Amino acid sequence: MDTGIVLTALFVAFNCGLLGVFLMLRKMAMVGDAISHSVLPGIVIAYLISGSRASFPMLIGAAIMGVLTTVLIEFLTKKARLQNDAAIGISFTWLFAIGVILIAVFTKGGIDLDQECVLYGDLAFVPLDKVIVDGNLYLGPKALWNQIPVFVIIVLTLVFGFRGWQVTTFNPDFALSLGINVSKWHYVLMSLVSLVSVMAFEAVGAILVVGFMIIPPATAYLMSGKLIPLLFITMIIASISVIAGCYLAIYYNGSFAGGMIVVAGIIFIVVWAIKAVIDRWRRVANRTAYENRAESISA
Amino acid sequence: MTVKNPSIAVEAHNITVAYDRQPVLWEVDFEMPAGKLIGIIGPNGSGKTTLVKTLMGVLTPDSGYVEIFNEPLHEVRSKIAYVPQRESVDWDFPASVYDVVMMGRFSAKKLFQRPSKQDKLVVRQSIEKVGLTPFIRRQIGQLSGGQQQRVFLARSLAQEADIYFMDEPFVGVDAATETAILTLMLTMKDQGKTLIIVHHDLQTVSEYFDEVLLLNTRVIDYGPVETVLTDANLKAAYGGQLNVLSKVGELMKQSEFPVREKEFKNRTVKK
Repeated sequence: MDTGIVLTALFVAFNCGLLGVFLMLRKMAMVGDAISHSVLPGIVIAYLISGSRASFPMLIGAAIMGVLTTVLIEFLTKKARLQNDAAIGISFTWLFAIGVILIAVFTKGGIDLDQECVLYGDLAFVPLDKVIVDGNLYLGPKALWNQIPVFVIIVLTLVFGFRGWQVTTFNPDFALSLGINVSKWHYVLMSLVSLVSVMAFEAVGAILVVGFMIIPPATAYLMSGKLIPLLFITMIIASISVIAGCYLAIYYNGSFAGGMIVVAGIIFIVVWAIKAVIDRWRRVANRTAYENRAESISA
Repeated sequence: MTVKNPSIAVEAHNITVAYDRQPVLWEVDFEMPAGKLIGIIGPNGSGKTTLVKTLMGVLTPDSGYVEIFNEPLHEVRSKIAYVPQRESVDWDFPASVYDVVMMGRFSAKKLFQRPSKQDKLVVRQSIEKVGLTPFIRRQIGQLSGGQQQRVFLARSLAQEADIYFMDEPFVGVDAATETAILTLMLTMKDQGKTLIIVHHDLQTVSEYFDEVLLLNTRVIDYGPVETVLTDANLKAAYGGQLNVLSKVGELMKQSEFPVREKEFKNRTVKK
């Protein structure tokens, strides 16, 4: 097993999961999905303009598209009076389709931006793009060094903005009454989601990013009722999914990201089942205690 | 040049708010004095919540303006506290009673600072005042409706404001919480605070409030309870809503035959 692959996947999972917690709590899981798809045309356009696969222009392109998506969703919801989920469905599929067409049109000229790669990504190719300094010091794959700064940015934003995330997520009206600029926080989150999506798409692809964003937080949500533990449990579940998923992928010789999301889903089901059993067991215990007491009173 | 009256807590002038060109508030205009318990009443969809949100600056009106203590809203944000409707938030949110009440100490400027000793003290005192100290670490989803309402009340107390806007604080709460809230409101009034409360239960209006604003998109009437709750005004506000009309009938009956329950309630409140 290549440590470069595992480390890259770990940081992708951390970045997605930490933001995913807030997307989930804001009931915006599908907006995360939308952004992760609709950054595609941004990436392609940035690529066509800059002519390189360098990260920075792509980042700008993706960030613009990410924010544009949320604006478009809001516009369709408020002005066209569509249901929110319909608005999301229109916005991201349309933008994503434009991206697909753009790739198809321009790949005829032999551009090294491949549809398969964008949709599914491939962690297996991550170690091929190496960071080597001084001619022979191998520092790990380039994708890993793309993820680490994003991780630092996200952690800093969460630590310093913790109270802001808390209040604008739990009770935006109340935050507004305090004079807090709620939409500013909203767009910061959306920009971070775009950032994570564009950095993750070459590793895990546009389709599975949202799996990393939602499944570990949703699992953690079953396990804890407090925000900080929720964030840490999310990271633990993400780690288990990445490592076990890696073994799974090697075992059946398939996609790494696919294996990881499969494992994440299995963890979710297992945790949910255990929780259901415990809840039921508690209810039964309570009821028998109550019945015993009732009997002792009547006797 | 008008002479500003220092005893005016909240004034709204010519407020109009519309959603999709459908007016929700139409030329709402009033001045509310400081140190009073004021009710905002009206039928469902009459714009009560919209009015409160506009007064708090959560919504921007299409026309008109609001002043708090004769100053624009953003100058005096620290003087106002807000208790939103309980159903307006998701109580499964991962936060404890303490976490939510601590939000009352947040402000746009202090958002990036750590809570001070003073903040922590005020939060604990506020929780004590609403009797939730035994539940301080409890996740808010595991509380009863009445306890959740008290969490919101404690958060507004932690804001240490002069004006309190409360949106339907008595909805879905148990009798004990209702009494507790009412006692607390009377104490706050004695301390010179202004309380502006959205309320829908006509029967309790005269017990609770000093003044009422009767609202149905427009201001039907505003003033002391006795002068506002007249037959004609209530008909104007509640119009064709039949079930409400029957309630009004009950109300009239009650005023003719005072019920003992009322005395009982007053007694428990005083305790």
